[in-house]
Amino acid sequence: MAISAGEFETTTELAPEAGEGKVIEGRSLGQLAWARLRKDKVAMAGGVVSLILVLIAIAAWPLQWLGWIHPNDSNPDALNIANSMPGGPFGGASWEHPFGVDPQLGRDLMDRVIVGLQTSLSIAGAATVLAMVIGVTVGVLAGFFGGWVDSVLARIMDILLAFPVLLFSIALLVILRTIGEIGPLSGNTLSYVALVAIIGGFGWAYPARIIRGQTLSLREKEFVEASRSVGARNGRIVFKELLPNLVAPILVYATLLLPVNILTEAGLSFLGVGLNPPTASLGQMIDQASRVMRIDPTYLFIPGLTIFITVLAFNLFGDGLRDAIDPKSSR
Amino acid sequence: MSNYRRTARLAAVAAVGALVLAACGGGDEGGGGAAPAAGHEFNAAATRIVNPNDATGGTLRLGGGSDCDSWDPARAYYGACWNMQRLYARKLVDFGSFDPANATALAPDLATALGEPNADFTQFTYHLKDGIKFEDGSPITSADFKWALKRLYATDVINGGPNSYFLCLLSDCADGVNPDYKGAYKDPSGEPMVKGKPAIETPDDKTVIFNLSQPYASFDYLAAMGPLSPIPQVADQGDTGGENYTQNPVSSGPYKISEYDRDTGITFVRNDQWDQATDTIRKPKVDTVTIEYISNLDDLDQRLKAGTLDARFDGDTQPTFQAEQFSDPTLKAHTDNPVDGALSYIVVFPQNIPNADCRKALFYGINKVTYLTAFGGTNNGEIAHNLTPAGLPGYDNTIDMYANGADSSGDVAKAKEELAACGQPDGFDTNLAFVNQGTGPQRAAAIKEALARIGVNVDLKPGEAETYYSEYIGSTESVKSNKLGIGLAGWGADFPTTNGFWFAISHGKANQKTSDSNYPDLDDPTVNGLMDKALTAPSDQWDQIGKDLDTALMNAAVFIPMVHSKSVYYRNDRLTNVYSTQFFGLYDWVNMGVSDGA
Repeated sequence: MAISAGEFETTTELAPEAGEGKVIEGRSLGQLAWARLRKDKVAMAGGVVSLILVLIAIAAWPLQWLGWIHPNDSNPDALNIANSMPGGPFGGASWEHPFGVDPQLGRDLMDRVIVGLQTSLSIAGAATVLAMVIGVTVGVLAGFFGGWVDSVLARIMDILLAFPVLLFSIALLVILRTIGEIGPLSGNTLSYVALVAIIGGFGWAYPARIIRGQTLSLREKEFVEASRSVGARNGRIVFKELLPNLVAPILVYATLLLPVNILTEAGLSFLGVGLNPPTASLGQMIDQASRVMRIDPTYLFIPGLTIFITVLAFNLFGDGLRDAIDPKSSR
Repeated sequence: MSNYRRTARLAAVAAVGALVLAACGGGDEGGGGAAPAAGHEFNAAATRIVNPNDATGGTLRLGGGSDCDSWDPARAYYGACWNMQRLYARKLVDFGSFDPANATALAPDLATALGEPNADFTQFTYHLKDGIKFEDGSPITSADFKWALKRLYATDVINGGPNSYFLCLLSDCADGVNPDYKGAYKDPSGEPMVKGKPAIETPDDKTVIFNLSQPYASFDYLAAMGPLSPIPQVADQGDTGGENYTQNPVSSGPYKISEYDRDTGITFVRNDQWDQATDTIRKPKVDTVTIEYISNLDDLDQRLKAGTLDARFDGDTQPTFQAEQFSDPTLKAHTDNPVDGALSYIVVFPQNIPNADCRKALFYGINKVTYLTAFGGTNNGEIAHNLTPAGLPGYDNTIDMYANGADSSGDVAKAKEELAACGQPDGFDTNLAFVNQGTGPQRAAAIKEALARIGVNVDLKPGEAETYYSEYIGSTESVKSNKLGIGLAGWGADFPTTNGFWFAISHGKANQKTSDSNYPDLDDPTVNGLMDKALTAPSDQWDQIGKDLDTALMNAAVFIPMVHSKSVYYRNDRLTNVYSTQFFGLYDWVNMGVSDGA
């Protein structure tokens, strides 16, 4: 995806806004972007859905603590004792279990989807933050200093991009689980940290390359030259001149990286190297459902649809955000 | 030996059948589609012969998920492959044909009678029948049994099979583990020796005498296993011998291999050198038996449903087809749902939970109902109250030493009493080992939920399927370092005696540091003593010894019986003479026929 270089040249963009007969006044970049985003109905819908999903994921903690949802409680009575499939059509859906129950244990599927969403979003979110922190740091260093620093860092990024990430992640997670304990980390905490570290640790190369490109062009700009000519140090130039102009691509890329990480986490869980059961995770639910898919597809449908909606909402919002912040970028 | 066991087993099967029939309102009448042919009924092949018919000819078309681990009778370990050996590898004695009155009884096969033991069960003598021949027409003599035994000691070539029962029983083992004799290929002129005598004596062509290193009253069951089926030395040489013998084993039975491709399938045709007059176990009907390998098991099930395959030779149908089998009356009439003799149990590791009262708390706190649903429901198993599975001496699932509630869903009060007795009234923390595959995660979750009720907080520690038994719960070091308190395990007998089931998983002698099956490192004098006693006891005492052993193991409080598993099979409408070989649980292919002659 092409995110065009540069700081924002506001003058050309003001014209159409002014044409609506309003009093011409100075508006900040943020105000302009917000105005454009608000007009993009698809992006706004994506944003609202994303926000709701995030709120649900956060609410999962107090809901569980209050005892309002029971994601790990089995309900053998809701199952057909002969083959452990939900009793009744549509996964045994009822007022008590609106999404039905899972085969074999009869756990409430709505509760598990809520907690599964929390698992997915928290791991993917933390991994995105990690990837962006590393990516921005490396990208700025490479772009700003150039020379051998750039060469070394760029090669590392190339290697990482050519790496068989999925295979390596599976192997690493299996090994970590066999070790079982690293310092204070063990069990599910270790799995959690490992998933974040692996998804984030392998995901920073792409944002790093984009930030590096942006930095390369930014550092040649007049305002950077001016800053340097009055004797500003490197640190000041990076933090005061470069980073503020990189906020837009960072924000956009983070929004687009999140759904990718959600899919990665779901994939790893599906392959059985995610969080330990009985912690609910969408990927694991799909794995379990795939075995009984032809008997009752409801159980596959619900977590699958949840992942689909989540990824789509974040993608639409990310695309809209990019268009709003950086309207020159080509689609 | 088996009167008690037989009745209990049949009663269980009948009870399940009655329940299911009641539930669906009388089976046959309901539903559309073709009415099942006379003889085909739900679970019929477990208790009687379905479609008895003497018509001959035609092809029996079987399907399988994959090739056998080996067609070399000494190297196969899958029960389904042992069952297939009935087609081409005869033994001195073998499991009889269908006889509900004597389910797991052996009958003489190549020998004229069962083994004649000496007074202390250290020597067994067999006399061979007249007229027995290999597929090339050469007579089967005592030398062929000697060669079969000698090649068994070439463990670098003849590996993978159940040789652990034979090696130190039929040879001196100076260090207790490794036999002194190094095998037929390295030492063709030597032979395994037991206390100065040859392990196998062949005074003439018709007599085989085994000398054992220790008393072994049930030696006939070992003689019925693949490793002691006769193999002609001339065929076990060069390109066709040793590790290649699996490609074309020489047949002594009514069928021989005509085509074999390990990726696509195997075809058996009639062996014209086999003589019905020498065989009381087999009455072959069809001319040809084919097995087609289909790796997508759901596709295999669809072929069964369409009738283009007659049955699956190597296991259960898949959950998708199972659901149809139990809901469609026509399919159900062609379904068998027998108890298969395997036990799903929980190991409570005394290495990490040394206090027996703490372990007993788990016995009372566990919920077997949710475990059974996680296991797959009543179609796939029944709740186990006692350890010994059906078909073994000592089976009695009505005894429940740790009765935990009317429906076995747990007795929290009783569990808390035990916790108080062990000094931890508020419960404790422990780790649970399970395979992170199939139903493993669900079964583990069910246990975690059940034990949370009594304050025992369980952390789930998944293991990998390939190394779970050998390196995870089977290694003393790993049990310690992973602080495993409980672990999921399953076990089935290699042969239907007390030692055939229990020795490897609970005898002190079977306890090693790594890769053993005695996961709790049990070395209990009572348990060891009962197993040793079973080795020499006459068969009418086996059942009582089995019960005493079950009680002793329950007293040791290291194995929680959870589920006696059941299989789900499908048989095509055109099959005749269908019945289960009681011990293997599968159908007896060698005596099966087809009604349409095609």
